[in-house]
Amino acid sequence: MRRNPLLQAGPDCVKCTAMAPPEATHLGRESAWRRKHNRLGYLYVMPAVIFFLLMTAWPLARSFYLSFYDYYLLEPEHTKFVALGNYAKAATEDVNREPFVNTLKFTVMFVPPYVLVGLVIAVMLHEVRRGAALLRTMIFIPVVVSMAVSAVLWILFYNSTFGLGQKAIVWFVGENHAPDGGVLGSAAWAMPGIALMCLWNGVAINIILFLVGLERIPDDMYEAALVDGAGAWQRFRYVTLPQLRGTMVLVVLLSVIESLKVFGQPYVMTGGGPADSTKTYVMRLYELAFRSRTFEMGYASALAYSLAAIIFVFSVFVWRFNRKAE
Amino acid sequence: MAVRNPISRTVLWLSLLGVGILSILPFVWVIAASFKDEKAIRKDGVWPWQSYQVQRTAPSGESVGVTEHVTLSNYRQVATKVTGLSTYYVNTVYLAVAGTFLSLLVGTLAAYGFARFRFRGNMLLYGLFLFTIMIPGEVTLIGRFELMVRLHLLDTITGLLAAYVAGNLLLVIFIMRNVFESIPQDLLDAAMIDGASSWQVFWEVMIPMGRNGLAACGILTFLSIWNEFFFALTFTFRAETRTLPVGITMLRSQWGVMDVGVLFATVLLSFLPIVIVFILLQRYFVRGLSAGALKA
Repeated sequence: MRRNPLLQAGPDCVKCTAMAPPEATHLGRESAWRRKHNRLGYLYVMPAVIFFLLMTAWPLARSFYLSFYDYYLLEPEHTKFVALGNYAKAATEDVNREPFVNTLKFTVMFVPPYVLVGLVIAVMLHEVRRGAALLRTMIFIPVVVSMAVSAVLWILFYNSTFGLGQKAIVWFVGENHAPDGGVLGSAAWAMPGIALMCLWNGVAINIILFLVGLERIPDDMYEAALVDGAGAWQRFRYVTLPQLRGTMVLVVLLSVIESLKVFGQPYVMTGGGPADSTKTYVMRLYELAFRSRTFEMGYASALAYSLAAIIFVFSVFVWRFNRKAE
Repeated sequence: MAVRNPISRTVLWLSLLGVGILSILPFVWVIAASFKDEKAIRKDGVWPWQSYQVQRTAPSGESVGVTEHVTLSNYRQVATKVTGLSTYYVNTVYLAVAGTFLSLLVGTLAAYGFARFRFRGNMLLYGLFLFTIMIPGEVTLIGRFELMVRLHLLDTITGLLAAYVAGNLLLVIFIMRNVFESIPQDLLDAAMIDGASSWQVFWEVMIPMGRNGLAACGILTFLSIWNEFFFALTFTFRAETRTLPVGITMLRSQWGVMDVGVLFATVLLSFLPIVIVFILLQRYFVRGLSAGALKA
């Protein structure tokens, strides 16, 4: 072991106590040494705990507390306790309905292709040996480009006069059915258009998750299936799919959570328009907290905690369902 | 289980190549368009083999029509017309580098503490951290915003940095604790018998042994900060504190006055560096992403 005086100035002093290592001592001394040694753990976790308490625990607690108050950041003198009033308002107010429905629409539109495309490409990639690095690099490139840059890129891509995406749509559905003002200018096309961009931008994450799951399936299971005379489809159906079950649950769960929280893509690409058709739950929250005249943080906190509750309930549901099905 | 039949192997390979081409098509399109005149983009098409007419002043002074395929004028204009891009880059690189370093430092120290010391409250604290990972960031956002106001850190890079470290810390702790737990106890005992302090064990055994996990965490944290949008959008207002993701979307307000060709060039400059880094470090990226995705 290198003797570096700097290193010995570390946050402990096991050496100074001149204790022999635990195995060499009798029981009483060993436990004393252990206890002393274990207490050093506090020093190691201390910076993280301080960070956590200040930057995460306190904001969470504060936001929870505020969710029971009528609280405006810029008018703190008007703070008023309303108990569950904000939650009731969040559930009943009409303006919240459309963002909520839009978010569900997005989830329904986005999650099935996001999961299935990820699965199919992963299974295909898993079969390829030669040139795999090239294919993977090409397919994974979009995931490293930030959501915001991708969104701006796709605004251009969808542009009604020169966008390549628009041209492809015209080619597919014909001049008459294509949206006039571009994909993002049409209430019917905007949300699917955003979902497609999200798929392109993020599907590599699901591919990677499935690839990890595929790596874990032992080869002899396939060999056994081959011996039994199973064809390619049967091997996929009776070996791959059941073995990927855990990965599948994880991917679906993460995908649904991600789409329930969708904000940046519609915010950048359409700003919620046209006619609020792409305004999402988190966008509504953002407007209340940061774009309203008075920063309605109490109400926004209630919306945030409601979303967390929805996600939590959904996760528990999926987890329980999965356990039962096993 | 590689496919054996050469025909199906070729079909498989070609379809994946098709997927790959679709994946990079928007980028290629932007690259092509960034070398075109605005009028050419709108009328003649963006690909280099499509030509367009421009008016040029001949040495004799008269204006003549010339046929061009590509031009560099967009890039010349980016330098003069698009202000702030370099500031956004500096901010984003600083945040990603400093944020990754701090998250890894604080995170691995804590992971070591949790994995290797049985102090009172260990499981309780760690359980609390784990539980918090599941709470969506949107919930933390409002509380942190208010905290930033109180600490006078709103609209500062330092405030954003603190938020990013806090946001990535828990995942680093989670991954690294698993890595550290899998290191055999014998190795640590051996080091301790040699008289190593726990700090030396951390620095000279744990860190080298856990370097794959560390690399994965580093890539994950770096990418998540590099791409972060929501906090940067809400916590900063001035051009001096803006990050690249937020800055690039602000261009939208200038679209009316901005030449489309220049816009293409700007978008290209905003994704090219990270794409090049990715291509160079592809193997590590995928490994890092899978490790992180797996644990998340």
